[in-house]
Amino acid sequence: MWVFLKLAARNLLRNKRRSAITFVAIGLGLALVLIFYGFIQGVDKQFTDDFIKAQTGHIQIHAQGYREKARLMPLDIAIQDFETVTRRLKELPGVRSVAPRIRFPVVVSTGSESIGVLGLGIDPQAERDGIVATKITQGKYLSGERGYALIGTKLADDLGLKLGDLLTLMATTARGALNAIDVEIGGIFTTGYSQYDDSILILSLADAQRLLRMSGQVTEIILMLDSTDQTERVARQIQQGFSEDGLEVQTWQELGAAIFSLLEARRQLMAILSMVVILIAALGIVNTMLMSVFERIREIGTLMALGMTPGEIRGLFLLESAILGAAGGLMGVGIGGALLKYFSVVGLTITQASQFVNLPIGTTFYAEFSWGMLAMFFVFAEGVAVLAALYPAYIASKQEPVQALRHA
Amino acid sequence: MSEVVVRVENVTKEYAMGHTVVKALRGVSLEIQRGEFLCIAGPSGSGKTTLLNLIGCLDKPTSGRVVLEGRDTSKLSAKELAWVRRQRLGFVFQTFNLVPVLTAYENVELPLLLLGVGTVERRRRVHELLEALGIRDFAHHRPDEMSGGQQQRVSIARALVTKPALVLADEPTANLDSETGKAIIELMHDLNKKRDTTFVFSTHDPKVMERASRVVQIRDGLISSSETAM
Repeated sequence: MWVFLKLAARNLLRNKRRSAITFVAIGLGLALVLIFYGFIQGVDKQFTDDFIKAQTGHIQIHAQGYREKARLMPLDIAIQDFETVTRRLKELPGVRSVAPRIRFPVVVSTGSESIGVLGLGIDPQAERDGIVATKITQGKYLSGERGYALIGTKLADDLGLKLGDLLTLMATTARGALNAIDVEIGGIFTTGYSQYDDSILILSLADAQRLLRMSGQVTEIILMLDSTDQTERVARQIQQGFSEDGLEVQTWQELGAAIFSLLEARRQLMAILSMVVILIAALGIVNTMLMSVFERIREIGTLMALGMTPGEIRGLFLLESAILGAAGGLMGVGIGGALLKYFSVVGLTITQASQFVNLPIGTTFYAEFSWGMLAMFFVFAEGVAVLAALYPAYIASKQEPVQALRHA
Repeated sequence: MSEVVVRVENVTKEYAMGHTVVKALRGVSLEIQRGEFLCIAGPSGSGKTTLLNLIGCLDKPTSGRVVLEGRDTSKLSAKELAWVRRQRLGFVFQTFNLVPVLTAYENVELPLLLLGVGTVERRRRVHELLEALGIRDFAHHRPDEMSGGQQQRVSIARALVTKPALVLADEPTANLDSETGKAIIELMHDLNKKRDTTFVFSTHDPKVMERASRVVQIRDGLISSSETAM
């Protein structure tokens, strides 16, 4: 009813300073929590995207039993006839790229020096948009021509190598024999991820198969999807459609379980911190509303004499708090939303971050911004304001008219 | 003039005050006829405010019954009592008790809003009463911008605007200077005559009692005399 709204609004204006302080407390508290939340969402999403792109892909497929021994990079647990498997995987809806790979330990010898690194045989065509292909700083990406290798800047520096230098690669074949081939450095990449730049050597799949005597075989197939949300669905389809092929299917969540549980723990910590901030703001509201009730006991008596029911008295105070919550909510969502919008576009650059944290994440963090998020937080502030006023409103409605009217 | 608005039947009221029980009313019976201008008189602590509160459905008797327009109010819930007050009663307070955040006009309008009276009717009734009580010029003033006499006029207008069966006024002149108090009583008397509104008010001022159509004297929680004016 309009009259209640008018009464509530005017009563809030009666003690402007107190209302303003509460309003600012709600607003700033909400803005803080919103920014917390937006950054965590943004950073987690960015981290997840990076993790998927640089580390795992959306889905990984191995031959049965590979994962268990993955640390040893067993070449004898390989996917047979990978070209057929790859072709069938490409036909699944939602699949953007299918990248067959061989992962193997390899000794790189420059003639004067030898070093063991991780070798990766890739299909140049399938990974032309991948993390390495897009970060070639010298030379060029693999063209499919045999006898070329890509290495990271750091590894090149360590070994004193430059474009066009010849390397001898030595590895143990799938059957346990030693084999070696010569390759030329065709390109040098700088991804920014130390595990790539320091110690990976990339070959075409054909060269790797030749070195390891694994014609027609790969050790893993990496799938990138159109959207991360489809991961579960596609993984299920593969499990069903390829059940007789003896393949293991893993999603990025399973592959990064340890890291993602860390993220989850941090999210929970932030949630607790947010709850504390909200609790403080809520106590501010409780205090404001209680003071407002106690100052107006006699007025409450008058309103009761005029025929307001206890429920209406309660409603009056709840409405006051709701208006305060809405005003504070608008302020909080306004400030928080504006900052999040800014940081979602411009980002927050922390130059030192990647040196401290050896995780595949860039140095610029982008906040997540969405109107739905703002609406959610506004409704939340409103809910907290109303909840916080329940007790004061109850006190107001429980007044006895006679005692209230006699109140000094 | 024989229609009974309120019948008070052998009412007692006890309060707990610390560990002692105060017997504010010890068995009071009273009938109030429509159109009366009834004064409840007595020294402070005699129980006149308690009686007024019981008639006004602000409180419930310890024993006995208060029958308002044929309805026993002692059995009603807080919410039902609120509705009785809203629809059938008007109050004038010693300390005026206007809602401080509302203007004179809005204060008078408030009971009509609670009753859900339509806009046009509301405006007509509020203006009519502000006019009748000579406070039209203060319609858009807030209580703190008005004198005591003006505030009390607003509060009388507020009490009358719903056309209640009964207006209760607890010491309406006690916070006013004698000149203004006299004017307020004359005004209430006038409204009683012209509009046939039943008034029950309390006072200990003999000058105010003079105007009453009947004076009920109360002393130590009992009615000691009831005199009808000639």
